[in-house]
Order: sequence, then C-alpha cells, then structure tokens
Amino acid sequence: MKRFGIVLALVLGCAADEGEGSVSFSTYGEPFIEQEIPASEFEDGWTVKYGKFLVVLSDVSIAETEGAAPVAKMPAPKLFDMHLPGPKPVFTAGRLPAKAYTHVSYVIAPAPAAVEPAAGVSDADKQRMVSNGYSLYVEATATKGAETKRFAWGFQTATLFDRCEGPLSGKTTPGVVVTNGGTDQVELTVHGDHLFYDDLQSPDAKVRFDNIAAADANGDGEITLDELAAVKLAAIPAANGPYGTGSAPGIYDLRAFVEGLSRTVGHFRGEGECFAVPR
Amino acid sequence: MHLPRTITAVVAFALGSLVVPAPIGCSSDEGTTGKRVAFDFAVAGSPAAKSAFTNAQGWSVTLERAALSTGNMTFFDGATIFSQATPAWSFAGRAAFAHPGHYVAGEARGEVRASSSVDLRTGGVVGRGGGVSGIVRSATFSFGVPPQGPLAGELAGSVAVLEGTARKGAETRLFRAAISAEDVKDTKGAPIIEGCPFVEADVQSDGRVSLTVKVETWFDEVDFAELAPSGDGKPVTLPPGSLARNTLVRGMKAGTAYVFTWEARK
Repeated sequence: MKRFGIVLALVLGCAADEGEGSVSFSTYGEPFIEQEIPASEFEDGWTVKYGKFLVVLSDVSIAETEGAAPVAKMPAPKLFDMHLPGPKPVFTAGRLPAKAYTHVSYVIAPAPAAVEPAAGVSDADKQRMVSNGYSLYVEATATKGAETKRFAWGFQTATLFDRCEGPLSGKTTPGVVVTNGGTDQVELTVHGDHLFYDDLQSPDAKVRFDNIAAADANGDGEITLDELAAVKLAAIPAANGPYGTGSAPGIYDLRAFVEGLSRTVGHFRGEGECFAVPR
Repeated sequence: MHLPRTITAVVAFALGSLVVPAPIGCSSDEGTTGKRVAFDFAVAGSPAAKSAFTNAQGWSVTLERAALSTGNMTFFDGATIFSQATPAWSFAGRAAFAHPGHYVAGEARGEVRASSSVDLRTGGVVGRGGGVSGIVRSATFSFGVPPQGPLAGELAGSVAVLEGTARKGAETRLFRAAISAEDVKDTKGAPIIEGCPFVEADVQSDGRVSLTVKVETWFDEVDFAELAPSGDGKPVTLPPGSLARNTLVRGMKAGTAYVFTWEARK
C-alpha cells in the first residue's frame, strides 16, 4: 500500500496531502567498503580492502522545499564505521504530514566532542576522530600481484550534501515522499571507490591506484598523506590519468586531490546524488 | 602586487538553436518558459593585462605575446563543482545540480558558435551567439581548432602561443610555449574546458557576456627555474614533457581560468 501510494504520488507529480507517515534514514557502505574494491574496478589492476571507514554524519534535514524551515532534523552528529556489515540506522523522523519533501540534505563534518558512536564503533575510534578533527578516516590495504601498500588517511573536510535526489519507485526523485501510514526508507550511501577517481569533475573518471602507490617515496609500504602531498599533479604522466580539477581551486598535488575526492563519497539512495558544498 | 593578466572578451548571442523547455509540474507558477534573448558583442582587453604578475612560485611574469584561439562556447544553469551556488531549478522542474565528483551542466541557456583568435593583452572579437532567458551559472569554453581570425597565422595551428619574461631575484628566463589542441583535450578527447564559472546571472533581456581569461591562473604554479636561461636573447621553448610546461597546461585546463560574466543591455 505504501509503495502504491508513492507510485501514485509520483505519477501525479504531486504528493497526497493526507495523513501522516515517517522517513527512516540509514547509512550503508556497500560491498566496496565492507568487502573490497575488486581489481575489475581499477584501471590498473589494484584491489583495495578497507579495514576501517569512519564517517561523521550530522544535520540530516528534511524540508518541504528549498529555503523552507526543516520539518525534521537529526538531533546530534553520529560516528559510523562503514566497514561494519549492513545498513546502519541514522535517524527517523516520524509523524510527518503526508506529502513530498523535496529538500533533503546532510553533512559530513569534523567530529565534535559530543559525537555519538554508532553500534560497533570503539571509544578509541571516537577519540581519534575528535582529537584530530576528522570527518572521515580510512584504513586500507591495496594489493596488486605481489605488491602490497597500506594507508591510513584522516580528512578534516566539512561538506554539506545538499538537495539530494535519488531513485524512488523507478524515478529520480528529489528528497523524500511521505505517505499516509508509510515509511520512506532512505539510504545515505557512502561510496568507497571515489577516493581513487582520476578526475574531480569528469563523469568519465576512472578508478586508479598506481599513482598513489608510486607516492610511497620511502618504500616502506605505507602511503602517507605527506607523501601524497609531495606528488605534483603536473608530474603525473598523461597516460596515468588526467587528474583534472575542473573548477575546484588550489589543487596541485595528490594529497589535495584526494582531499577533494573525500567530499564526493556521500550519496543518496544508492547511486543518487547530492550537491556537494564545502562548509 | 599581484596584477592579473586578463582579457575581457565580450561576446554576443544571436538567436540560436536552443530548445525552449516546456513547463512541467503540479504547481501553476512553474509554467514559465524561457524567452529568446539576443546579445550584443564586443571584445575588450583588460588594462591590467599589460602589467607583470607574480605567480605562486615567486616569478614575476610579463607576457610579450599571448595569442589564444577560441571556439564555441555554451552557457548552462548548472553550477560548477564544489560551488556555493544557490539551487538551479530548470524550467522542466528538476534540479540541474552538480553531483559530487562530477559536474552536471544542466540546461543550456546560450551558445556562441564562432571561432576566432585574440591577443590576450588587448582583447578582440570572439563571435556571437543566442540563448534563452533564465539563470546561468557555468560555461563550456572551447579552443578553436584550427585557429581562425586575426591571429590564425601567428598561432600556426596551436591553440595558444605565449611568450614572455619571468624574473625571480637575479634569475631571468625568456620563455615561449606553443600549446596544441592535443595538450588541452579533455577526457573525451575534445579541446574544451567544461564547468567554467559563469558569475550567476538571471538573464531576462538582451545584453552581453564577457569572458575573462585569467592568464595568471595559467602560470600560477609554473616554476621557470627548470627552463634554461636564454643565451641569445631569444625566448627558450618550454620543453615538451617538462614539469614547467605540464604545469602551464594544467593551468590552462583549470575551469577557474575562464570566468564569464553577464551584463544587461542598458
């Protein structure tokens, strides 16, 4: 009945303004974060396995339209480890008037001291995020043949994922749709492969790791952000990817590039998208 | 003092082939369609273009030659990546927004279909085009291939020819770079720069568009130390594959180097 209501609302192009319903947000890292990014995804044959993928989600917000006051908002930031299996509950907004709410947004920003760890997140992880001001922290191992590289990167970027839209009943839909007695299940999806894109702007970006692996200047198998900072994008051969930055200013090295990519991991209902706005 | 080396190229819209979107939606006030708008054209150079500028590597750069081949340009309502733009709602009632990780142009609002060439120190006529009314937030810049217009001969097949002097302390470098379409091609192999900023404007009447090419952005990260000093007073060509030339090319491929602005006809 709920699905029929949503479909009917979409067919009419308007939501039914009767009764109440709810919206339940979860977050999910998909197999790329939970299991591995297989070699088939990489242009250069690497496989990446995350061991940790910590994300601070906050300010999940629902409004009827852009510019309208939110009708519901996540009360406090929450820390998730996307490497832990399965979707994780984020926030439920109940008893909302049944209608379409076209403006939904959320934030990935540095952890405040009061950030709430989600189930399975250790206190040590919380302290790591808070004391370093991280919004995103990843640990992973990359392998290609006999070669193995490790990295542990923390990012302090703050990004508003605004005006989210995604697939709902087969149609790209802005925001959420509340139906009478129904619950719109919304997944705030985190894409772990985006940290390895070879272009910040192009929809044709490929997933690569060779250039990151080559940044391991001291050859100790650990790729640090400082080592990435030593790699000028202009020094990367064209055959190894464009590493275009579009209109993102001030990005000249691989560390700044990956930090820029860290603003792109947040999605909506799987492959749905939001407008990424630096905060 | 950081003096930008710029060109202001004012281009014109004529009535083009853009499709005026049809209204869709359940709210009656969404039924607005775009009207055709025409734009005067003119080209003006920036007075600052003849001054030296200092780049991020500490080199003071003066350009003695700065020829650019220009091609088609298209203007869109979608915002550039990572921008602070307000939402872009198209006439069709759907969001024309930039996705995380990639730029989405959205609805085309105007276009210039002309190839020409300009001296970036003085400016020059680029062309004319047409459009429909509405919000404009971004643009695609195209290098003209092959070069046409007044500097086609000077460009000799390149999309840009740059010569000048770079000074840093006691060091002086006379440089030259001829940039090809192959150098500046995008991921699809086209010599275009997508997702350039168009200073947000609600175009509702005839007017003109100005393109400012920020040459200082092209050169900002170039370290001329890699270039050999001139032994005969003639400029030394930036070696193909050198970090200095690659850095210049990356600067030329940055969308932020091409800033479009709108001015209504008074």
